[in-house]
Amino acid sequence: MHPLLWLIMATVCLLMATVSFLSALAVEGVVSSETYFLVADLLVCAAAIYCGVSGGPFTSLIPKVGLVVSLIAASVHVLSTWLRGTFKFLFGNKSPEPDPLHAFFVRVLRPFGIEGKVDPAEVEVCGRVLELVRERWEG
Amino acid sequence: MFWSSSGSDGRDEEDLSNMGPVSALLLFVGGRLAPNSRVWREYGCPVVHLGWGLFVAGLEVVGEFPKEAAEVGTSGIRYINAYGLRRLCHFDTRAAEEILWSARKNPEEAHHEALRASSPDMREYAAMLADFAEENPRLMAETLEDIVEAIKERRILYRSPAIRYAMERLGFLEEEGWLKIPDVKSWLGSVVDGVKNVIPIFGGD
Repeated sequence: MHPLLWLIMATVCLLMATVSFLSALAVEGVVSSETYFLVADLLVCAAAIYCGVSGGPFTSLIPKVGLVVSLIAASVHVLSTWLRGTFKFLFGNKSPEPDPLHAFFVRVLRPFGIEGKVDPAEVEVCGRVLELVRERWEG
Repeated sequence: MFWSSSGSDGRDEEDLSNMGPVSALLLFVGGRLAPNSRVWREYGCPVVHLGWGLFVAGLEVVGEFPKEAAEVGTSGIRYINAYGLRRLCHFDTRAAEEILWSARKNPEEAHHEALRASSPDMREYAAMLADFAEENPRLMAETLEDIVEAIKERRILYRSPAIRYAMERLGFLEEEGWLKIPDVKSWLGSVVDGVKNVIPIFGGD
């Protein structure tokens, strides 16, 4: 792989991993398994950038191959995190657990009046429950 | 305050063991609206408060909280914390996650903790629900059943995989096989909704 391409990939991945990491920390408040992966991604990207800038301190081929493979794995992980967060932001979250990146986007955009999408069927359910309880509960 | 008699159709069971699962379901359904603070204020927050009140009252009256309910309820509370809406609640949502989880094993202690994590208004609300459940167990059981029936409508279950998951987990629905046609339908529906949302010319609101 061309060294410049390698460096660009590592830099983009480092930036995206940093945002994912901060969002995981800010939203979850605790270090979960996803956060550990993001820490690993950050370290791999930083190592790749260091090797690219310094001309590569490794004399053997094996660590270089290992670094390239782990950088590709880290890029795929960070990219999938972002794609998942963006997909959930546009289409709403269908999974039963909250997504840290989605929650981060929503909290950043909320002061500008942009809100996240919720499932209309779930709004209807809540409306129906409240109506039912109000109907039963008079006075 | 007075609960009107529901159109009683011969149901005479006074089984209040559903209080825990229904409270978890309400916490989940209400918490799911947290991504949109405007909708949450109007619909999610009152439902979450009802869920928490029922949870506290259920611990007092029934004295048990199943593991599945703890999982589903905690997941709902996580939405409120993740989307930063906990200041709008009448109870400490950070502590709530742990209280729900500990209620499986030690309901009595969890009840004390839950009361401590609630505002005075919420404590009063929970006490009122507990009194009502003790005085009118049949009406309370009917109301719980009607809440589940209101959520269990086929159309809602097709459109929201998350609600279907919660209902299955809590035992209100039988689990289906691995091939779920509704999943494909809901996914296609969400793609169409998303396109409408992104490109207003297609009739987005």
